[in-house]
Amino acid sequence: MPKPVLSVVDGGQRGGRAWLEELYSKYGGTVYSRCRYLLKSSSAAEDAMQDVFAKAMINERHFRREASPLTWLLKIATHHCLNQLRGEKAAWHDQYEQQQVVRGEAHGGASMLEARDLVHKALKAFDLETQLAVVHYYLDEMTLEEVAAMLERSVPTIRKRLRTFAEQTSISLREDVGALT
Amino acid sequence: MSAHPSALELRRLLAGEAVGDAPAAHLATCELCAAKVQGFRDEQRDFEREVPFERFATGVERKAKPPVRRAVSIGIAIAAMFAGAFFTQLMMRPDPTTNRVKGGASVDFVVAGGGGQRQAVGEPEALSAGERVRLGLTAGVFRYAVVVSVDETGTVTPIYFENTQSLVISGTGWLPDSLEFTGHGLERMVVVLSQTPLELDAVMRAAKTSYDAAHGDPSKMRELELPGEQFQRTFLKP
Repeated sequence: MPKPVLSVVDGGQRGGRAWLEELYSKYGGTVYSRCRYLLKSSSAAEDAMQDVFAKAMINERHFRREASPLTWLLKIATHHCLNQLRGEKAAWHDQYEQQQVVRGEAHGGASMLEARDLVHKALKAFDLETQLAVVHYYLDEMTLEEVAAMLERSVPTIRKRLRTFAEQTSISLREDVGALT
Repeated sequence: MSAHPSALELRRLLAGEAVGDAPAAHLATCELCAAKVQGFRDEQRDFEREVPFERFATGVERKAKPPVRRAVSIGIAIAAMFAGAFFTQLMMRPDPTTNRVKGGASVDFVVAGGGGQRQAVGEPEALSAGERVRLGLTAGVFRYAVVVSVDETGTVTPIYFENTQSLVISGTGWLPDSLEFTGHGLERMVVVLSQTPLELDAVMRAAKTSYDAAHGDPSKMRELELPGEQFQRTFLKP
C-alpha cells in the first residue's frame, strides 16, 4: 500500500504558558461572555471558564486538531454551564434583578438584546438537548445543519426541538427552520 | 436566510480561524457587522481588564491537573491494612449494597473523607468537598478489569488500565489509591470485568457511544457494548 502523502502528527511541545496566553487572547472574552450569559454571575462565569480551558489543556492533542477551536470551546462552555444550572435550579429563577448588562452581539441592537434575555428566561423549561440547540441557534446564529452536526443529531430532530421551543415561547425562528418542512 | 455572516463566523474570523473569503469581504462593506465585530473586540478588552492573564492561567492550570487525582495522604502499608480489614468484614457480613454478579465477582464503590466511610449507593451519590472514592474488587471468574469515567460534557477519562488494555486482577482487594474528582456536576464511573483483556480505546469509544445515547446525561448511561460484566455508579461532584 502506498504511504500517505500527509499524516497527522502531534502538535509538538505540550501546553505551557505561551499556549495559554494565545488561548486567553483569542478566545478568553468569547468563552467568558458565554459563561456569564448563562450563569449571570461574574465569579461563577470565571470558574466555569477556567473549567472549559482546563478541558482544552487536558485534551490538548484533540483540541489542536479541531478545525475550529472556538466552536469546540463554545460547545463545551455551553454544555458545562447548562449542566451547572441544572444542578442549581434556583439560578434560573431569581437572578434577573441583578442581571448584568449583556452587550448585544447580533444584528438589531436593542431588540436582539431583549431576545437574548427572553431566550435565557425561557431555557429553564426545556431539556438539555433543546437548551443546547437553542443557545447555538440563537446566540451563535448557527444554521440548523450546523447545530445538528455539532450536537450529533439529525436535522429533523433539531428542527423539531427548535420549533417546540418557538411554539412554547413565541420567540420566532429564522427562515431556515420555518422553511424546511 | 440572512446575508450576514453568523455571529460564530464573525467571532472565528476575529480569532484568525479559516472561514473562507466571503465573511471577510462582507465585513469590509457592512456597517452592522463591523459594529458587531467591534463589540466582540470590546468584549475581549473588558475580559482582559476583569480577569488578568496571571489569574486566568493559574486557575486553568490548577484545574487541568488530571481529572482524577490520586490521593497520596495514606501510606501504602496503612492502606493495605485498611483494605484487608474492610474485606474481611465484607466476607463475614456481606453488605447488601455491594454489587454482585454471576461468577462471584463484585465491585464496591466506597466513599471516604472527613465524615468517615460509606458505601456509595446513591444514584447519583453526592460527594462532599474532599471526599474520595475507592474501588474494591472481587474478581470471581474474571481476570481483567478496566475503569473509565465520563463527565457531563462527554469527556471520557481512563482511570485504571495497563498500557493500552485492561489490567490483570485476581482474588479480592482494592484498586490502588483513592480517587478525587475535579470540576463540578456528574461523573459516571464504569467498571468492566472481562475474561480477556479489552483495548482501552474500544472501552472509551463504547463509553462515548453510551453517553451519546443518553443524550448527554451520564446518569442515564446504559451498559457499554462490551463483553464481560459491568458496574456503573454516578457521582455528583461538590
